Amino acid sequence: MVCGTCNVAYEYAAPEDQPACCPRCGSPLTLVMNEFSATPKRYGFEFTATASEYFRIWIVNLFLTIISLGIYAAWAKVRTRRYIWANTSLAGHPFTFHGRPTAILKGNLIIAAIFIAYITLKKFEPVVATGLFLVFGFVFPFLVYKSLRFNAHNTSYRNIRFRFLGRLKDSYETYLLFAGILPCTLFIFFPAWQFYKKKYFFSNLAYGLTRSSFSGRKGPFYKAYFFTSLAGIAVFAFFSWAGSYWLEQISASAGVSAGTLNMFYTFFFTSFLAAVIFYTLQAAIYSLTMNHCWSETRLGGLTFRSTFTVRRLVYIRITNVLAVIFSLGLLVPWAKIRRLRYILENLSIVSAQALDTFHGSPGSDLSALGDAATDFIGIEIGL
Amino acid sequence: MIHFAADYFDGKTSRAYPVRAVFDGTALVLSDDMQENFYNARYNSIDIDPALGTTKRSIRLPNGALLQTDDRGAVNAIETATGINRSWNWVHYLETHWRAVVACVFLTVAALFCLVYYAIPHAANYAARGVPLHVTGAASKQTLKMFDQRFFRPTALGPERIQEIKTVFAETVSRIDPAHAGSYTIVFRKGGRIGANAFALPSGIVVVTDELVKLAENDDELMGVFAHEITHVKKRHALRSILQSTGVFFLVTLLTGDITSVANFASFLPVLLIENGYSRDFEREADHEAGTLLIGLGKGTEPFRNILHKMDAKHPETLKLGVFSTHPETIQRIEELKKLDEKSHKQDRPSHGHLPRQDLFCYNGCTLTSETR
Repeated sequence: MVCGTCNVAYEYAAPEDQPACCPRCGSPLTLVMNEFSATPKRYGFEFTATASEYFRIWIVNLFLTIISLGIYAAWAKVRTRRYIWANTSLAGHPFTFHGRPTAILKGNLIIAAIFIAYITLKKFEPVVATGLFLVFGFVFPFLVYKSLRFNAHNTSYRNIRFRFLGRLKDSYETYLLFAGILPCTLFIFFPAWQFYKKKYFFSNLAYGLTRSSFSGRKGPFYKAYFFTSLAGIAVFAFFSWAGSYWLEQISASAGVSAGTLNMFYTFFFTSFLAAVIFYTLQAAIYSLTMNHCWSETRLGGLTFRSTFTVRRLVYIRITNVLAVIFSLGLLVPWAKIRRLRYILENLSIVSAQALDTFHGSPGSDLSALGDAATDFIGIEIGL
Repeated sequence: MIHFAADYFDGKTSRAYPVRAVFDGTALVLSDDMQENFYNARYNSIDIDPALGTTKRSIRLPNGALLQTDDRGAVNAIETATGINRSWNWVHYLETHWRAVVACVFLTVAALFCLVYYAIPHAANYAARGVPLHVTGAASKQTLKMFDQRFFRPTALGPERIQEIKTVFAETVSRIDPAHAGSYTIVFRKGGRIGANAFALPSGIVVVTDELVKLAENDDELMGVFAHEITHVKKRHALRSILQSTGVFFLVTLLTGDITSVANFASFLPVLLIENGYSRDFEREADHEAGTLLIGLGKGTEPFRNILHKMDAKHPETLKLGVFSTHPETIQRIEELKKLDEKSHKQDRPSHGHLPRQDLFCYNGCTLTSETR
């Protein structure tokens, strides 16, 4: 049902004997035909970006960013986003990114100032730096909140903007309170914390006037983290054993006393191995938890299906890292497009509602500060 | 007249209306099957998203509606006719011409080398020069406290020996950095696990272990060590290394900023290499100053070479890490000092204080050698 005066859609059926009225202005609602069709239809995301085209955009961005000493980074980001968004389409129509470079530039400058202040103070006045760090901890939830809003508000599909309706209070609860009590629970709470972060995102999205709902549970997160950690420990144990065997062979043949050499190699090898395993398993956790999150998210009459597999995402991650290292970074665009293609090709929506019956809402304020902040410290939110 | 087909999105619903668009030189006129000219907008009231790859072109209309079309040629023609996005066309030009792209690859690499080898070290040097030593006092004290708790024990040297060494130290200071002689202090500790070594804290405190004092056969050897450490302080190596790693950090953030975490993970290695390279360059500079001082006193670099050699011999299993090390290999350091000797014989007069830039890999170095790392 739609109110023609306010241009607002409502999802309720009026009692038989009364005409349906708009709760906001009181004028009668009209029934939009074909809003919910009987048989749900499945639409896959199509990703049409190519590594060749993206490489050219990437290298030009990189060059202009470096020679402008970072100023151009804001424009580069808008161009990259616009390219990725415009090459992601659903039912024949692409997504569109609307972020303004000047807004991102402002955010970049503020974040750069904070980081310079922190790094300098850390070396000279460690106490003040710790204070600054705490202050940043209090600002961070605000930045996350702003970032989620910025990204959603600047994304549109068929000229209907997405929105993020999460409250600032909930951001503080998730990113400050829960993060703060994490060490007290000996990190047993960690999967639950990850769950709350995802919940904050998925339960507060809106496409125009259509709000999302999220019915995800903590269980799958605990399961994902438990089995992934188990696998990680097993792999780690195996490689440490193999590594120490190999080390013994080496030190025996070289004829040097073990001691320092052994200790050093063990330390280096162990931390490197741990980092690689940790990094690889992030991909496994991503696939397990995101499958759950997407399948528990609804947007009006629309549900999501994701079919990520652990094996494939881990494989993509490992090969991407190797490709980037051995190409000295030149294959970064290829790696990014490859991963995004896999993710988008394994994501689809099932809709009982025709895709051209969603309603937009009037726009609101936008700022890039949070956007820059989250990118700077590398938080991965959403896709 | 420019004709093209497009999808019209009114911004109120997600419906796509197929429309015919005509641009007559001043206005964009939209028609559909129901109505001719149902909307029109003057060219100076519309926004066109700059061209980007082979994606659809988007035209934003003043009523909040969006026009999207695959007919990139038509939109290009409108841009040419109206001058919209003129300042963006050259970026698109670079992106769509392989020659320009290849040039960008080379220029990017060249720009990175300039930044890492030239701009960052020089900017850091320039910025660090004016910073007074006492600024780093709090942090230096904390570092020393940490070392005291973890490794050091109080010194077991006798008061006479300490007094003798303090005299050598004061003389070295007066020759290396006479203008700020009051800023430097020497501190004695029993090294314990750290063994024979010396290190400088950025505020001017030079820490010497008993083991090192015992290893030195004469005071000239100690003077070489002190000169090396005092140079670290005088040339603000600690501060410069902080500034340089901040610079490298920002550079990496710029490079990987809008890239997936793949690049962030892979960038750990180049960062390590660059920063350890900076460190080795600082070590060379400190060695060079120490060698030059000893040569100036007519002693040659031999005493300093001797003590470096003895320290190296004490730890035969020290790893030769090459580019992964914060310090150049001892053999290489000794070789460079020897070259300094030969040069001074040829020139007869040592060139003091001016360092020809080495192969430009540098960083902070507190310790005399890298054994404790």
